Amino acid sequence: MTALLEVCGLAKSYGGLQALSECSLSVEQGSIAGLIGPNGSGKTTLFNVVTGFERADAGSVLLDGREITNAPPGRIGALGVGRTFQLTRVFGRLTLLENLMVGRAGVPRSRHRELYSDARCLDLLDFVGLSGSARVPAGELSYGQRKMVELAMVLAQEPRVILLDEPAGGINPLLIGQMGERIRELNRRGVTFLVVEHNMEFVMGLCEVVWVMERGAVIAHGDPEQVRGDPRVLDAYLGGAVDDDADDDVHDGDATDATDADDEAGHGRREGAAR
Amino acid sequence: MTVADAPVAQQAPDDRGTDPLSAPGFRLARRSVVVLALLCAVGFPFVFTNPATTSIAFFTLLYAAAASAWNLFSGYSGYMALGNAVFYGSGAYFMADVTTHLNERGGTMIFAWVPAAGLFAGLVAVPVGWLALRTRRHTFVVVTIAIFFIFQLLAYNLQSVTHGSAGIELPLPPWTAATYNDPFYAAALVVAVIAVIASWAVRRSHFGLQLLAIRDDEDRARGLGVRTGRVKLTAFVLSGVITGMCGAIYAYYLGSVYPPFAFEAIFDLTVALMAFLGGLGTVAGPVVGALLLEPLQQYLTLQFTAAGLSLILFGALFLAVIGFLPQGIVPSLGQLLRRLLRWRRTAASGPEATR
Repeated sequence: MTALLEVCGLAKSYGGLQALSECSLSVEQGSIAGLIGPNGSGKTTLFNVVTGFERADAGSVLLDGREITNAPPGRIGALGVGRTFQLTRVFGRLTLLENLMVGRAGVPRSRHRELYSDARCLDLLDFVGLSGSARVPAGELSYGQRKMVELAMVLAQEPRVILLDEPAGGINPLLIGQMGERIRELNRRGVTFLVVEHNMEFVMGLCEVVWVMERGAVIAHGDPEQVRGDPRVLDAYLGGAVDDDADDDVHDGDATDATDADDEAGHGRREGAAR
Repeated sequence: MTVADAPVAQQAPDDRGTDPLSAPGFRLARRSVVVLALLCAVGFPFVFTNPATTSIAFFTLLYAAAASAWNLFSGYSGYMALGNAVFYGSGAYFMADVTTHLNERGGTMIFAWVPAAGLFAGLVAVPVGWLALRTRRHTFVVVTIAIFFIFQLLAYNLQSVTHGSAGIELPLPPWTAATYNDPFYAAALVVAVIAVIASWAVRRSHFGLQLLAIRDDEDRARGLGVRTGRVKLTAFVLSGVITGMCGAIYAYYLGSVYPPFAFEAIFDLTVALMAFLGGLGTVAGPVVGALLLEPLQQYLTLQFTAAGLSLILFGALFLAVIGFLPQGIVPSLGQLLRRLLRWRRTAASGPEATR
């Protein structure tokens, strides 16, 4: 197996705060990889840098051996990296069908008809269980349903690897189960995943390899069993209660896509669901 | 947000999957309304020949075009531009300069310059948009206002082009007082139709969808591959072209251009207000807004000229719109109609169907 997505020595700092330092990991073609770590350990920052929303200070990102470091988000998307956001981001006043259609701008003209026919978009909505609401504005959906729409939006572009930022965060257990099923089914069809998630049960059940981050660097990786028993991981999660708070500040400082208040709300929901 | 996540698999069949207003009957009704409105607009000057009336009708159409143009960029993209008078004025001055320099004789042939004036305004819109669109939200609003005032100042001071506050006299139209308004009315109607067709075409196109996506979440759109900079600038320039054509017609109608009339702050507010009243981001909204507001404004100006009372009444109306119809007339009516249809449908299909 070869690495489809490779991150080498990535560094990113905000002022004096080192959000990522010497961060390296790789995701193998056709796998589902997990990425865990305490709040503020740099997971979302890593996603932002990999997908071009933030610039790396140092290091490189390779997709299938090809350098994509610091390319603009649209370009990285066109090369086959899709992502969802921790706080779901759908176009609230557009219908679900329109939400999917927006992504047409990111695929070559020659594939418009194939990828963005009405039928295929409806199929995708069907896949996430929402075809009945195809013409409803996305803003009218529940939080969990929006996460499903976001997944469909990403799928429409037929990416090779999808980065999911907390797909199970803040949604009810039934929907979490469905989300897991959908990811597994897509994986069987050849899509590679890198999943950030706080819901351990979800991650451990889904992923073949789990990477653990703390303070902007990867501290351990392996299959779920190995990671679960790794003393460094236990230490990162349980040992540093005081540091955790400090790290939280780092995270809030780098939240690019939402107000802090929203961010806090997101954390609350997620933790509610994880326990 | 706190709405319980309905388990997707067990979701009841959703009657919202289709929009009741897209039923064939309604499409026909909508088309009939459009045709009827067009017929009324064409027939208007044949029925009402009083110059006082046709003058109001002329301004109404001119503002319907300008408000549609404003909506084409600001309504769709969510970027609230308050400087469209820059293009109105640029079109007006282009018209005045070109026709006087070429010693054009007054007459209908002068309207041939209107598209050129539009293109010139579009040319102006390129650097203006490039600059202003580096900012977002409130900053964008402030920047457009600032650019507007810069242009007004330029009009006062660039003597060689604008003749400053002395202004420029355009060639005298040869028409008699009784029919003076008619050619202008026709020109305004053509531009209004162009503006409405353009907004309709944009609204239906993928280009328009990208604008709407930018309105809802610009960064997300960028992540999905929307070239946000290019899309925004294109719409901005298109809006500038149409607004410039309006300005050119206005200049010829007035017969002269002066800085405060060509670059008029009230224009900036009026076009925005019309779109707000009718319905932001809808095709019909700005036209409805213009149909209601322009005659009212003209009437108020005639009745209460003293001490700008008309402006105060206008402001009060604006507050009323924001208070009672925050979405504007067209979307509110649409919603009402949808609710009515849904209610009728559930009532007709009985309690079993609704469970």
